[in-house]
Amino acid sequence: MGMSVLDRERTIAPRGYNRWLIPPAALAVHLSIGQVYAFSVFKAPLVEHFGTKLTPIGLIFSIAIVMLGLSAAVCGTWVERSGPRKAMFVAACCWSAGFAVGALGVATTQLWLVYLGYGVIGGIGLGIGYISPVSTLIKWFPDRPGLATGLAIMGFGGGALIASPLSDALLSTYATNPADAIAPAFLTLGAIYLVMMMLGAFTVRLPPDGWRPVGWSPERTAERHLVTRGNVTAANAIRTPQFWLLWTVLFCNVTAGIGILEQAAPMIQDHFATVSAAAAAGFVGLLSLCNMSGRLVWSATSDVIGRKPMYMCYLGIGAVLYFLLATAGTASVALFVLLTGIILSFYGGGFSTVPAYLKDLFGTIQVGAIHGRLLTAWSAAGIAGPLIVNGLADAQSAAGKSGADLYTVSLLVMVGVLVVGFIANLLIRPVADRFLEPVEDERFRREEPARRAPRRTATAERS
Amino acid sequence: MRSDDSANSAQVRAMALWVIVSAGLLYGVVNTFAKVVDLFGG
Repeated sequence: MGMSVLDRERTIAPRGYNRWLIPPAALAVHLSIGQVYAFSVFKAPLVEHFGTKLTPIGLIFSIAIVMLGLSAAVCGTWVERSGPRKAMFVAACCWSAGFAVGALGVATTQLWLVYLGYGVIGGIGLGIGYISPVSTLIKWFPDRPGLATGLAIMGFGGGALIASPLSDALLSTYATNPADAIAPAFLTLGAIYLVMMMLGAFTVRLPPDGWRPVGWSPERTAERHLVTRGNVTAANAIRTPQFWLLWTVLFCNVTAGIGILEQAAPMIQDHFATVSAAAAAGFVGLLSLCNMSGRLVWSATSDVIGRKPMYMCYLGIGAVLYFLLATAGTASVALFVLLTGIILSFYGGGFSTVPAYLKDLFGTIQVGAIHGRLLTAWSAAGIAGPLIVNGLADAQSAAGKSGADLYTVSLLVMVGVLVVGFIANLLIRPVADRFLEPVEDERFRREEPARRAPRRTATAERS
Repeated sequence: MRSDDSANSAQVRAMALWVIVSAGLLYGVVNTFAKVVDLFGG
């Protein structure tokens, strides 16, 4: 019974618990696992330490991202069943153990151990940690799911902002040559993230059964198009066209964003000869800030304008911005930075709005598990995006092009990718009733919302 | 209803966590802004 403190039943909040005490638990986890986006800090020291090239070192990150998608998809149902505390606990153990095994690999110069540690074990921690707080937040904030998931997933973007200077500081503290400081830096990061994620795990709470925010009723939000009042299981969700259309939407949004992220620093320098290496690093930092803030701002906006219109903006306006970048990007540095900044904010918003979109379409009972399955789109885009971008850039270079011309074709291809996503989003309709779980309380069926007046329930709690 | 510890200590821990994650985010944002200055002013 040693694990009982982790059980779902032990995680239920007492009545009257302030729901604003839940987001920091989610943030603690996402800020920790967001370190993966700052992995590039270790690339050059790892290349030197192992005496190898960039490709085998880059594989560490790729394995971690693929494992993120796979573990989120495979473990999603377990996460939903076990509750957020046990899931966060396991994620914390995997993520920090990944650093420890990775450090062992570095210390013994065994690259396969780094693949196994940071890539496989850490990657499993990433996947479980990413989805673990999402459905909990949606349950606490049924009136503002976009804001709630935006807060958590903003943490994933913010994690890189913290880890990047922190890793630099650790590498320069432990040794004069960063290549000799990787193992202790890994161990330190693993220890910090273990503490942070455990704090999150033991802070998270589930709302009591039947809990609702004061003055809120599902009837009111269900009047909005696309918002179901039924529930769909994860097994059924993947049989619906809506799931695969949304998969396509996420895949297209991520692929296009990677088009900029992958080559942000060389891109601005190829567009403007006056931009120094330090300024290019500042540009990458600015894009990270836009990526992070977009996750919160646009996701919260989707609570007001609706999920489908929000994705029409991400993909439709995004396509226009990419086109402008391809055709008028060289006009001025300010215009270039403005266009790419908005594009990256849409990229981040696409990640954080998707759980709320899933909640609208499939209900809340297994939204975490469905989200996990959807994240395979991220893994696929993580492989496809760089392949398209790097392949096209190499082809342009081989054709003798240089400067901004190197990127024109890949930017225009991304316009096409976004248009495909835009059409997929347009095709999303409410989920057919045959996929909904049978419910005893027919208030929760979608077909009858208009006939029932909104009402407060006896279980409503102060929020 | 059972809970593993008192509601009070859980709430104090959650508020402390708000402070920690906010400080972490601030550290990241300030460090990033320091680099961004190079883009426009450096």
